[in-house]
This record gives sequence, C-alpha cells and structure tokens, in this order.
Amino acid sequence: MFYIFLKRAAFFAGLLVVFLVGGYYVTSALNAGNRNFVLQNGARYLLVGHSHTACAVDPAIAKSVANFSASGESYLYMGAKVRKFVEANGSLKSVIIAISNNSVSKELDPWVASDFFLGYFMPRYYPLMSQPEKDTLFRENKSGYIYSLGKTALDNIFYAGYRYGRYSSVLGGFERLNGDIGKWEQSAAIRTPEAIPSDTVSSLNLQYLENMVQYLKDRDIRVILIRTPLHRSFWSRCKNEWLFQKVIHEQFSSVLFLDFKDFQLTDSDFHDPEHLNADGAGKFSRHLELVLEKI
Amino acid sequence: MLFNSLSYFLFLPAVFLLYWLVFNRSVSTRNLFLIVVSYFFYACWDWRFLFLLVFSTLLDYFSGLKIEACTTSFSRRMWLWISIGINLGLLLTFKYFNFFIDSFNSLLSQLRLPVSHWSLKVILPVGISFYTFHGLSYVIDIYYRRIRAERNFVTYSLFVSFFPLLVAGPIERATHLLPQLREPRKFNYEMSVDGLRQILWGLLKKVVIADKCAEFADPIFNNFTGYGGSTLFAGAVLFSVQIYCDFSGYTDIATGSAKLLGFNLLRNFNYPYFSRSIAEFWRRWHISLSSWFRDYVYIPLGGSKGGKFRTVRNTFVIFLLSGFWHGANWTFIFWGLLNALYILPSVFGGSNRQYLDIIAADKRYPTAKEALLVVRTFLLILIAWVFFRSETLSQAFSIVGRMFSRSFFEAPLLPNKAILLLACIPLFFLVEWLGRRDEYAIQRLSLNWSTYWRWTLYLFFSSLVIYFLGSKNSFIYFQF
Repeated sequence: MFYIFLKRAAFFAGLLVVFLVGGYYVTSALNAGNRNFVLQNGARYLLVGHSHTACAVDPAIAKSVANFSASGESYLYMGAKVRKFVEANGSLKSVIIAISNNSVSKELDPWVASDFFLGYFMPRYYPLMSQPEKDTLFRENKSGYIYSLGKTALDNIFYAGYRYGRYSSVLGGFERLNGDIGKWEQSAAIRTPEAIPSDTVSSLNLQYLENMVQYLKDRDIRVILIRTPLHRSFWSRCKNEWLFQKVIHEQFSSVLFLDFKDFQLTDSDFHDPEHLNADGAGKFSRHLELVLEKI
Repeated sequence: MLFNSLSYFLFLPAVFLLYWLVFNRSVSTRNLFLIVVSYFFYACWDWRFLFLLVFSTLLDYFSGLKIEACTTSFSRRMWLWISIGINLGLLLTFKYFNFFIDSFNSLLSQLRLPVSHWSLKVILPVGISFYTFHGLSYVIDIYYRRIRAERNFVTYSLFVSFFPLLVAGPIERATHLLPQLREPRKFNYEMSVDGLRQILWGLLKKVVIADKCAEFADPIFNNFTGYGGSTLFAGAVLFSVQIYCDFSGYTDIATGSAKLLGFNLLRNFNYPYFSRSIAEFWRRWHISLSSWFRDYVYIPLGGSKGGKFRTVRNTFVIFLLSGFWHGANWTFIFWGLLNALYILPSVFGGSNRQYLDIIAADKRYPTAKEALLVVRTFLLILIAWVFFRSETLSQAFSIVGRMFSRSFFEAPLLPNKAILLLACIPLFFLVEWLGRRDEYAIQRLSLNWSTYWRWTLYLFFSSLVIYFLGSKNSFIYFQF
C-alpha cells in the first residue's frame, strides 16, 4: 500500500505541475501573438516609471506621450517592458524614464525581488523577461521566486481570456488620483508611514536602469530621465538629494535629465508630497507637452 | 520553518520517505530518527533554544522517574513541585519577566515612587508554552498514578519534541501519545491519504483565508482611530475569521503531518463558530488547552463540586490563567475575564453542560432558534476577540465603544477586495457546515464523488494555495 500511496501522491503532484507548466505555456502561446505593444494615437515618447510618473502624466493631455508607468515598478521589470515596446515600434525615437530620490536609494532594492514585489510583478512580466533577469530574481530571493513561479502560471491561466489582445494594458498606465494634500495629511493616522529615501545608493535597481539606458542607446533611441514635481513638504524628510545629484552626474551624465521637482504647482495639485492628483497631472502634462515639443 | 513555507514542503516529504523506507528497523530507530528531525525542525527557528528544550525534557523525565520511585507522599509531592516550579519558573522568566517588571514600574509610577526603567531583552523561545504544558501534564499524571513513568528516554523525548506539535500544539497528553510512540507503526494508506487531505485543507484555511483576512484586519486595528463603527465591526469579523482559520489551519497541518507518520493527535477544534453557547464554544475551541486547564487546574481546585461560590471561583481562575497563558499583556487577561463573565450565567443556571451534541446533528439546517443562538455566541466572542487583538486595553475599549456608536450604521470604509472577501466568507462556512460532523470540513466531502471530480477539487484547492502562498505569514499562535 505504501508504494501505491507514493505512486498516487507523485501522480497528483505531477498532474499539478503539468497543469501549471502546461497551462502557463498554452496561455502564453495563445497570448504571445496578440500582445499588442504598438503605441497608439501617434505617441512619439514612451514613458516608463513608477507611481510618480504614473500619476503625473495624463496621455490624454500630453498626447505625444504613451504613459506605461506602474506603481511600485522597479527598473528590472521596466527594462523587460521597454524591450517589447522597442521591438514593436521600429520608429520609436525617445524613451522617458522616471527617476526619483527613492529610486536611487538602497531602500528600493527590495522592490526588485522581495516576496511582495515578486508576487505582484512576476506574473505580469515573466513572459517578457530575459533569462538573465529571471536568474537575478532567483538569485536574490530563491524561495520567493519559486512561490511566484506557481503564481505566475496560475495568473496567466486565470487571466488568459481577460488579457487576450490587450496584454500591455496590464503593464501600466495613467493613474488618476483624487483628493489633495490637505486630506492626505488628515488621513495620516490611517496610512502606513511614507518611506524615507536613505542615503545609501541602490546596488540592484540602478544596475537595471543602466542596462536599460545602454540597451536604448545601442539602438539609437534617445533616453530622457525625468523627475516629476515634488511638494515642498517632501524635502523636510528627504535627506538624499546629494546622492541623487551624484548619481545623475556620475552615472547618467550623458543622458538628458528633465528635473521638474520645483515646477510651480499649488497644494491643491498634490495628492501627497510625491504624487500629483488629477488637477496637478493636467497642469504638469500640458507643460511637459510644451517642453517635449522644444527638445 | 513555517508549515506554510517551501522549506516545510521539502522537509515533510523527505522525513516521510526516510521514516517509512530507511529508518524502519524498529520502533526505537524510528523514534530516534523523529527526534533528530524534530530537533532540526526546532533549530531552524533558533538553535540556542534547543538547550532549553533538552533541559525541559531531562527535567520532566527524571522528575517522573523520581515521583514514581518515591515511597512517601511527602517526597512524591516534593518532586512534583520541583518539576512544576522549575517548569513554570522558566516559562515565567522567558514569557512574563518583562511584563511583571513593566507592571511593577507602572504601579510605582502611579504611587509616585521612584521607578527603575530596566528590563531584560528576553526573546520568547517558540513553543515554550506548549512543550512546558506537555511536560507538566506528564509529571502530574504520574503523581496522580494515571500513568507509569516512561523509562525509555528516546520515547519520552519524542513525546515532548515531536515536530508537528512542538511549536503550537495540540497540547498532547502522555496518556494519549506515549502509547502510540511505544507501539510499532505500520503504514496505513487511508490514514495517510486523510493526512494529506487535512494538510491541504489546513493550508487553504491559513494561506487563502486567514492571511487574506489579516491583510485587511491589520490596518483597521492598527489605525482604529481613523475608522467608524461599521468598519471596526468588519475588522473584528475579519479578525475572528482570521484567528480561527490561522490556528485551526495550523492544527490541521500538524495533525495531517502526524497522520502521515502514523500518529493520531488530539483534536483541537470542533467547529467552534457553530456553538450555541459560550460554554459550548469553549468545548470546541483550542480543545487541548481548555481540557488541560480543566483536568490540571479546575478539577484539582474542586471543579463544580463544593457549591456555587467555588465553581465560580474556579471558573474565573481557569479563564484568567488561560488569558495569561496567551501572553504577557493585560488585554489577554481581560479577554479571559470577559469569557469568564460570559460563561457565568450558564454556571449559575446550571446550563453549562447543555449542547454537548453537534448542532443539527441529524438535520440539514439548524432551527431558527439554533441559528440565533449561534449568531449571539459569535457576536459575544467577536467582542472578546477585539480585546485579544488589541495592543492595549484602552485601544480595545475605544474600538468596542466605536463599534456600538452611531457610526455603526455608516457604510464601512473597506477596499473592494475586503468586501469581496467578506462576501466569500459565508461560502467557507458553508463548507464547514457541510463537514461539521467530521474531524475537518472536507474529510468526507468528496469521498463519494468520482475520482475525476475529487481530484479536480484537490487541484483547485492546491492551485488556490499556490496562488496565495507568497507572503509566508507566520501563525498567530507561534507567539504564545
């Protein structure tokens, strides 16, 4: 009976693996030909980044920009996405990449491969990632990677129909925020404390920004780094501006950097110290469109 | 090594194969192998506390032998109290030292006396409350001549350190587990399949339900001042479901793991949220602890024999002790007190032995009266859980006060996912209801289905577990 038990248990485990792996590959294959990464409406600029740009640039106003920023996204995942857009848009000449005081600091390294971020981003990006990128994630967090493999397979199976033909739409977009900084300050009691950018430089996250910049340069695509407007209260807790400037000047000196940190906005344009609300996004997007026309 | 971690998913099959295929020569070989893997399991938490586990094992092993060997009642009692004193001394030191110091300082401060602000940074050894109670029950049973002292040190060590129950129970009795450890074990197909099924159900409860509930309950309790009554009530409901699925899920995984190795552990949960009274709830919730306090505290104190006053006193003693056992915080003590107050009317009315059977045992649905009684019991327990979950008593009173304010009738401030989760919870309880006559809800749920559909159900459950597994949240009862 023991061997019958072993045989059946192994058969069940095998069935589960076949269901996960087979399901993943079948749904990936079905979706592969239909992942639409062609930029719509004549957008000339591809914008990628994390929540700062996701909330700041409304492509309905800045019409030359296709905003594919996503909250919490680190440069490793952005790089995978950018490659797909570049491959699908032969005429793409410029890519705008968000950079912030947070993204240069070490505190963002866990955004690459901590359990939470792996669980969130791997299911979305796994079909787009290169083997070295997968290896990095595995190296950084082995158990998290293995957990997320199962989740990735199931995610692709569950959402195969939903994502069919519009895969890129789950990889980012403009996030419309309501409410202003006054309300945000009132809600201080019910939110988690904001992360304070540390003054230790990122080792992992910035490496993938460099890789992305190099990839684009190799294809003669202009790279623009952008920092979106920040509320004055942000500076009271941010102590790593010197580090930010150092990274910009030493690591990315050859890249055009658009710094809008002091862009003139009122308190009512901010959702919180780092994110614009819909009103602020409207004003900033109009200004960005003018700036992009000039460069 | 958490039960819901990748390392345990590798550990358990490896132990299972080695146990049945390699270390199968004799009972002693098997037991020795289980001790080694149990110590390895425990060392994965913190190897330094292995010494404490070994010390506790040695203490109770030799105390047991001494108690049995003594010929005078004085020396028997002396050895018993030496064992109890050292066991409780260790527990008090590791678990309650800072609580006593802080409470003492707080008292001095209120009396405007000079306060010394010092405390030790004592780390709580995982499982200490559980294995200390294992050892205590063993020596007390020998003292009362319910069992003979175990001569085989390997067998006794395994009784204390058996990995499925080492860190959070069930709190086993020597009368129940020791005979199983002495007997030769033969592989039992049905028992092993049952064990796997129970592990799957436990994982589902922990990973899919408890951890999801925690995701929404935690922010509500942590930021309670920002929420109105309806949201706090929803938070309390979520926590009530969380703690049940967390702890009973843990127990299912522990029991299922033990079944794979040929052992039956004591039952710890029996669908407590289908209880019609508080007394019934306590016969169905954390049964191994409740029965421990009943057998080793309540009954030795006189139990219900000796008049109402003594019964009430004994009831308060065990509930306060039960609260204190959970942790060094006034919230736990108040939680125990509240439960004692809840149970008081049934003690006075003599109805605390009512509802010994399963609700609607031979029917499909409960009667309206039974349903109302279940809801009433759940609401009372829910209020008690607020005290259990809160950091301080003032926080708990504030939450309960807000819950019963006008803001209870406002729309709750909950994310859509939390509302979806709350909507799915009745589905879970429906499965529990269907399986309420069994040890765990899906024990016989699909047994008369065709293999195809049964395996489809298991594949679906496994997929849900894999999908939600990522966060690896610890079990609530590991802190006790």
